[in-house]
Amino acid sequence: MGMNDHALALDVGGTFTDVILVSNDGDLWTTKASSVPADPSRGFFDGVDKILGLSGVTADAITSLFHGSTVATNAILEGRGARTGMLVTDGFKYVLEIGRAEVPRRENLFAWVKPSRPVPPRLIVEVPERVLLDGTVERVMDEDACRVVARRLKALGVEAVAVVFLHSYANPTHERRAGDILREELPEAEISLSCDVLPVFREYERSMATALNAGVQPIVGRYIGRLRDGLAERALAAPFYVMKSNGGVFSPEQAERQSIQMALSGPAAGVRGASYVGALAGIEDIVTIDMGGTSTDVSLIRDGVPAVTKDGEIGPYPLSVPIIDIHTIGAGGGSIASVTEQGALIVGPRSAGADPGPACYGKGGEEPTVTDANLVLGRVPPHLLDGEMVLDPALAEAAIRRFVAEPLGIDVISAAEGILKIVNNNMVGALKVVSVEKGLDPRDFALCAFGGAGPMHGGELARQFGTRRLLIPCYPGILCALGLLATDLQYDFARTRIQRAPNYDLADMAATFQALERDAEAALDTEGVASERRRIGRSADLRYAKQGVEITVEIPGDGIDTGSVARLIEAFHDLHERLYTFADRDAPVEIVNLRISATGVMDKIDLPAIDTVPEGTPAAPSGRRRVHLEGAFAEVPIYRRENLKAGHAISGPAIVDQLDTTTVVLPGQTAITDAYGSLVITDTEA
Amino acid sequence: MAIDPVTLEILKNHCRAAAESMAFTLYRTAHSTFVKETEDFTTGLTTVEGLTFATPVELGATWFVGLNYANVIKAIEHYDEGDIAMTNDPYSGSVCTHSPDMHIWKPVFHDGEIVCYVVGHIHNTDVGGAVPASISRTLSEVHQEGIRIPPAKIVRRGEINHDVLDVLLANVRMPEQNWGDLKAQIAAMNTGERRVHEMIEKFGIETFRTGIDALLDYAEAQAREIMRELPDGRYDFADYLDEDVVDGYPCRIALSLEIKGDGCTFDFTGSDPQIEGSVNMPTGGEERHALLMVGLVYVLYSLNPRLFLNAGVCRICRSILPEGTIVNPQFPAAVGLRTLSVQRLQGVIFGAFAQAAPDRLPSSPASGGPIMNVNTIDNRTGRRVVASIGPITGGAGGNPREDGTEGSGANASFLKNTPVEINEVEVPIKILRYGLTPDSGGPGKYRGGMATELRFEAQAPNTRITARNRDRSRFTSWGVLGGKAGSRSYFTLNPGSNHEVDLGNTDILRVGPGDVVHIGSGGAGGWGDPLERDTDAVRVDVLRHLVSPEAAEHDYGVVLANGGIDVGATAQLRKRLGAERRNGGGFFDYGEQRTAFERLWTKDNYGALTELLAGLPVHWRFFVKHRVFEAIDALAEDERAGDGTEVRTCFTRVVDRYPQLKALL
Repeated sequence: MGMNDHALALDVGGTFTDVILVSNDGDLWTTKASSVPADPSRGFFDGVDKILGLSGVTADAITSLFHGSTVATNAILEGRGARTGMLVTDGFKYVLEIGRAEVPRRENLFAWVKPSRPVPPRLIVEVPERVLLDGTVERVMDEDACRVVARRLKALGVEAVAVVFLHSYANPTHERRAGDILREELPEAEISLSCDVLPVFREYERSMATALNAGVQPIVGRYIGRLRDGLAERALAAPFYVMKSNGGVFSPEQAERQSIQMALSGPAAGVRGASYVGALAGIEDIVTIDMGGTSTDVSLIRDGVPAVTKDGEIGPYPLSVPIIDIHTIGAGGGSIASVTEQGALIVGPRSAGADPGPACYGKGGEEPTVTDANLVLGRVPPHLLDGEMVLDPALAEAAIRRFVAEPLGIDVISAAEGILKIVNNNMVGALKVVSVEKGLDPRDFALCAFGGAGPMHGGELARQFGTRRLLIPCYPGILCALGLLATDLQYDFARTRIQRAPNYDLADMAATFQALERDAEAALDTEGVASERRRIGRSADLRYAKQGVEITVEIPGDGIDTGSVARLIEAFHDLHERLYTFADRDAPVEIVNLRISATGVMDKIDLPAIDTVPEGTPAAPSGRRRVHLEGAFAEVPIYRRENLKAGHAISGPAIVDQLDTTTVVLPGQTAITDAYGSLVITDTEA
Repeated sequence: MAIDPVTLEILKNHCRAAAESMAFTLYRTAHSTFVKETEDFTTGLTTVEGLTFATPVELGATWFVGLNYANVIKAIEHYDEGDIAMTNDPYSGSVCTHSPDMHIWKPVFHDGEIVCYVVGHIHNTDVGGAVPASISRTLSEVHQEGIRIPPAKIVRRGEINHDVLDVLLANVRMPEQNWGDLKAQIAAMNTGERRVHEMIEKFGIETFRTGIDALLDYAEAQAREIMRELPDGRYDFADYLDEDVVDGYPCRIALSLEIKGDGCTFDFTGSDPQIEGSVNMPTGGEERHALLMVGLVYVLYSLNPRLFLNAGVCRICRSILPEGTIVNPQFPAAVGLRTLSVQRLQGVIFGAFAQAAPDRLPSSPASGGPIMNVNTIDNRTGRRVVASIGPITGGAGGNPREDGTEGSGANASFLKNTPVEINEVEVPIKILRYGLTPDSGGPGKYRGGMATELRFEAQAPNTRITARNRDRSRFTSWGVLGGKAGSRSYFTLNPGSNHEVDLGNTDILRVGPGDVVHIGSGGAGGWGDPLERDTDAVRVDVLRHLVSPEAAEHDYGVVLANGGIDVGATAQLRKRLGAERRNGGGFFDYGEQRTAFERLWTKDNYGALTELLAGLPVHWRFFVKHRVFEAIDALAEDERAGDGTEVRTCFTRVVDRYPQLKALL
């Protein structure tokens, strides 16, 4: 980084566009603009203009620009993808429609109706061709027939076409040739080949990824076009990067081709932000909890690296491209509390959302929410956003009384406590899913709580979950935007090459890795990444013969030889044992997919350190408030977050208020402010 | 001590999470593709008495909430901490219901005392016996259905009991798979035990104990609430399996449902005598046996998807199970294919409840789609491969608001299919087609879901195909309120060639290299009058190649022209068809074959048969049923009254023919 470099990050969410501008001189500005769901580029540029105005930094002084976008996400979730056609192997037209044939186990069994597919059956056409699992061409593709169906799709007015042939991961020639024919016949349409999008086996999951990619490509393309135009108008010529679901970034050009990689980029940026502030605090093993209004995202960071999965989901669809492993539950500040006919208190999954919102918003919401419970217990101040938003405790109390306290025959305070207990319990369940279920011990992790409601619940969650440390980032409400500044270029390449014990074909594995590495290097070449900034990681998906699920294991070193394969298999046994309590060292192990992850390390602008006071200096409260904690009301000191300096210590019970959230420090807990403004909360009792 | 609602809700979530955590461990560690891809397993927590109080909702066979481990728990005299017991014997304790299901349970101790059990089962791909995968409708004694382990400790104080394990593994075809799956089950038990200990630490032992009872009461109260909304009354329904045994006669499952207040009674009188085949349901006469309760749980869950599922739900119901019948067979009747009869029984329960809540319940889902097993040689290695290639499910029944889902959502136990690309890796066959069958869903205002079909080519000589649970090749899925029945199922060898064979209701087949096997499920039943179906929905179905233009006209009265709807011709045709159909149709449409069958075998005729067979020794009943059917078939048209008299006449002739029987009466 040179002098006067400025990095700008914009995270466009559903309600707000969060903006951070950081200079390497130690200046930092943040702002929020309202998002414009109909045209997210407007929220984006409102944010750009607002932060430039606020900071006085000129467009030409911006040296890098990072962007997190929900354009692809929303297009998929709202079914607004482009009109997409699909070419498939003769005989397999209904693979996408049938899916895995199962009814989700939570659903009403007999009345469940399958969510409609991104491509309807009438836009899916069969092409005579067949490749076998080892890549042998059993039936040469009928190119004339392919051309005929391409024309038929054109007549049906498709804007995008996905091509998914059986076993194309083993031999992509038919898909590539079909792609050529489609480009000739439909020059305007976007073409997605499954051998590019997800060259691994399981045809339904691959079909879905390819179909979704095809459908969002035109939308992402148009969006990026608008961004390019707007940036050009502002003479903002800095290199521009887009957030991916795997926690890295890629160029807009790549985003236009591999749009599906953006599908879950929003929560991924938050996890990236958590790993960043964790690293600044010297914490590498973290469970993150991003608690918003209607949902909560939970994920795991080990050794500073967010956990990645290839068995993710977006809405009702499987998403088998590598993404940061995020477990989402439908509970947040807006979750509604109610009492069932049988007299049980439940919280969620219904939510009051932003409109009408919790009862205390006074916008017509009648039913009590988690936020109402927090307000009644004094944990949330009645004024938010510096007084821009006023909450009415009387409305909250009335709602809790009517819908919870009276039906249960208990008082309002006990009812509010009950609501929080239940929602916290649900959250702890989610925290366990990403940790305990995977054989990990919560005591080895810190909890990083963010999002509007995270810092309020973090203290109790940390205790119940059994972590020793709780980390509340300096800007809990805009951690996603901050996370954008901490990313690297990151590409994943994978191919299915099934290798069965004991006949591992080392030459084939080496050749496959070489091919994948060539793809990876080519991608980094395109981005102009210098060689010393390149990191190539190799891994493989392994399983015991006939197991239906694979585990990804890293392969250290460069070459593939008997030794490295033996070490790979040993590492698989160990990992299997750690994850699933046993290893079957006598069982044959299959190597199923080979993977390359390519990183182009980017310059980072350091978050400026804040002013320091001697370690352990008690902070001065700005006031006191009656707050209900651990069974009783007490006058509790209130601190302003912006007044805290590095080294300041706060002993619970205490409340730390800031613009967009409130941190609760429980009795027995101590919060220390670190050099970058994060609160590190520990239990002094334990 | 009463438990407060907040604690109960939290405990409920913890219990469910504990069961879920067990399922998660099991799923991720199980070895066989069948378990991984189809999730045919359960996990749960039971009371000290053995009643299931918590099960997972995300993973596994989530409908077995009524499982009662009481008898098998008692079958073992003494438990030490660290013990795990198992059984796969359908005639030991009424938990296991066919031999591939290995049930396993572990007592959880607190201060030296058992406080609950963690339990679960896995469907093993094979447990030995006469046929690969251990199940076939050709079998008639449970001894043919593989090794049976009566309740025994597989783990003693944390150490594997090799005496039991070695006997098990010596008797199965793929021992490494069974052992792998068993290890996964043991891991799941250990996870469950840990979770229970954590709960006790969190809540205290007293709250935990009280909470368990409260959870059962809670589920029961929810179920009673649902029942109170339904009108009191008696609702009769029956359905059939195509055959009781290979080349046999239809197998009837009859139910008289009585809804009274907040509870109900299932009277299965009128169901067939126990079968000399393998579709018997081994309930042990337990009036709330899990197999019987599955259908009830489905209905209640359809009526209220927030229902907390555990054995408390089943308290609202009791069953009448005449001994020596298909719903309460005597040892050693074979039971391997009970999956098929239980599926049909669930449909029967739905049919009965549909009459009480027609605007809230769907018509019949497709069924009769099999789970396919292939036993062949891999030409590359010369090794024999035995593997499941997954279920062929079919669609869901039309429901009061929407069409049934296509090619999935059938009553197929939540089973997942196996991807084509995985099947081709695991099993040396070539798959030619996997898709939906046009015109298979029963027409209706809301159409039945389409059937699923799979076509593949064998690659090696002496390849044996088992199509377990095949049915509905004759009696199809029913429609309601004017909706029509779905299409029949198919099993065809070399379709479209000059040596095509329709295999009827067969479920086992031997083929050689180059032979093409086609297997198709039935279609689901429709809901409501197809002439009231939105004409544009019909047009779209035609564009999707799911409904042919001919069927659009014939079934729906929709005339298409130039890709659009001919509005005038459609109105005319619908009017004409409506007039023609005015006389036909009751609450149910059963399809042609069943309607024809029931002209001979009326309700009264069945009533007479049931009464007469009940008076015979159990081992004679099935034999006499067949002789009476033969005699009825042989009657002339003018000898049939349909009022039971011809059955009595035929029965007397049969008794007269067999002095051995006469001597017993």
